[in-house]
Amino acid sequence: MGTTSQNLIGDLKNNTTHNMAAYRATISQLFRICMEVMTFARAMNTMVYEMELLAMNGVVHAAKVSDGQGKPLLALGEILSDLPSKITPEVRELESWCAQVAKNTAKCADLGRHHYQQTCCLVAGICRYAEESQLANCEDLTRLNLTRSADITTLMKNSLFDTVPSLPRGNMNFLANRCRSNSAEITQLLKHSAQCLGKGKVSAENIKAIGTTARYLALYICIEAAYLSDKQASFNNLAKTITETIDQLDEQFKSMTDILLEGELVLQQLTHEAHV
Amino acid sequence: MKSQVISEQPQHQWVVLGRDSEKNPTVIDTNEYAILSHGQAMLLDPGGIEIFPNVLAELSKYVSIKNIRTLFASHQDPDIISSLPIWLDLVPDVKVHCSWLWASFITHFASGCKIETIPDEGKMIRIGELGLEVQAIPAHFCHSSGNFSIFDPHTNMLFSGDIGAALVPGHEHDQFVGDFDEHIQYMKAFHQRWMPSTAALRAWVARVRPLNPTMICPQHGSIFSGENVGKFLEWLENLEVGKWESKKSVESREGVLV
Repeated sequence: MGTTSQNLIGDLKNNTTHNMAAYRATISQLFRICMEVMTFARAMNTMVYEMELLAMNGVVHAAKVSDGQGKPLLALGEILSDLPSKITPEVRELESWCAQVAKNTAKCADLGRHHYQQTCCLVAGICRYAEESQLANCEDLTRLNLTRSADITTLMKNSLFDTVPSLPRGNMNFLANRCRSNSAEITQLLKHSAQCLGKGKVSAENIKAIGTTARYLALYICIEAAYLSDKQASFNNLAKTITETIDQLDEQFKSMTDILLEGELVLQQLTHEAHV
Repeated sequence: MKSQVISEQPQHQWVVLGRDSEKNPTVIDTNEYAILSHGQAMLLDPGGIEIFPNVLAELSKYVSIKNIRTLFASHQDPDIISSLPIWLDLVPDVKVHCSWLWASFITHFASGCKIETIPDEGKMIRIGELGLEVQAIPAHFCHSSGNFSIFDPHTNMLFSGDIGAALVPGHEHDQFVGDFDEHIQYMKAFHQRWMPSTAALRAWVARVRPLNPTMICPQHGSIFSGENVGKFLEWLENLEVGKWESKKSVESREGVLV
């Protein structure tokens, strides 16, 4: 192998390795994001359970209030008891969308590895079988990013393939097609992941809306409790604890929304900057 | 990576690929073999994932990728078969043959593959659908507990896996063993440490000698041909392996002797 081909193989390999390392790092970032959202979703499940207990507590206390004074509180407690059953499926949805994105990213990482090894094979093949004189005129190829499907097509259309014997040329075309098909599959998976994250965001927004309802209910419990002749303090405490739980839920929601946004940005980076 | 045809008959060739100067130096050098029979190919220990690009690039001048129909793994190690998922990506219907003992382990490399297991006694394996048959010869406990060599009855070539392996210096080292006595230094330590059973090695020699192999082709190092085949078998028959003693124990024993 001559100096020119050594330079070409070196540059193309370095570019491919660099781009693939960036792709892998971004994919890992996306995987981490999914795991974090799932962790938040699990924490929300715990809070939902706490809310359920608080609501049951409210219902029991309201039932004990004499002279019919507890009726509005009983009604509020029952509405509150109903909320966890509305949050749980949304949390489950959110978890399942994130699990799907995590699955997609794992598949993307796997396909990326295949893509990398196959493009390296293409580069090794070019430098083995193309004529040295042809390689001397192909400096522009070193600028190619073989993690991009379009750049593989550019490479395969280059005239240096004209001198490659038919058997290796056929094999390299076969490999290039495989690379393009892996690339297309990665693009599909990324698009699907973007849809899943979008749906995850909807679930998250629904959870926030339910949380806001619970906050209002806590406020109404306080107002209603003010009319009671006794047990005011226990209802005020109950409302305070509900508000604290919703505050925690909101905090979790905010962190989760930030992470979901980060996930969207990472996906955009992967798809639009076309690492693969 | 270099390659050469080491046995040639009409419609039936053996090719060795190895001495890969482009690979990462931390990766052990390996020999991959391809038997090309009636237009279809069988790869013997196709190698690790790291060397896949160079193996396929070099192999590309001998056979169309689509005609790689059979893969054989002598045992389960990563330098033998960790490239499996990428081969399957290219030729999804390729048949993979390995010991029954390792089938469910090798699928950790690529869960979607169909593995044709080899029973302990060995079996005949056809190269693709059109090629000739080769024979899987038991080599259990010669390195791995579920281990096979491949004997080609049409050429008397023998692929021995890690048996006969040597850690030769540099990529320029001859692909064939020249001076056998000189070569021992590269393979003795390998066998003493990586082979667990002297009895198993002797049994393998007894199994292989009557086959009169023309060449013995290991997965690392250099190929034995001509009179070196007999010399190697004799050397192996007299080698004691599978022994290890801690430094402390040696020192203590030597202390007792002193």
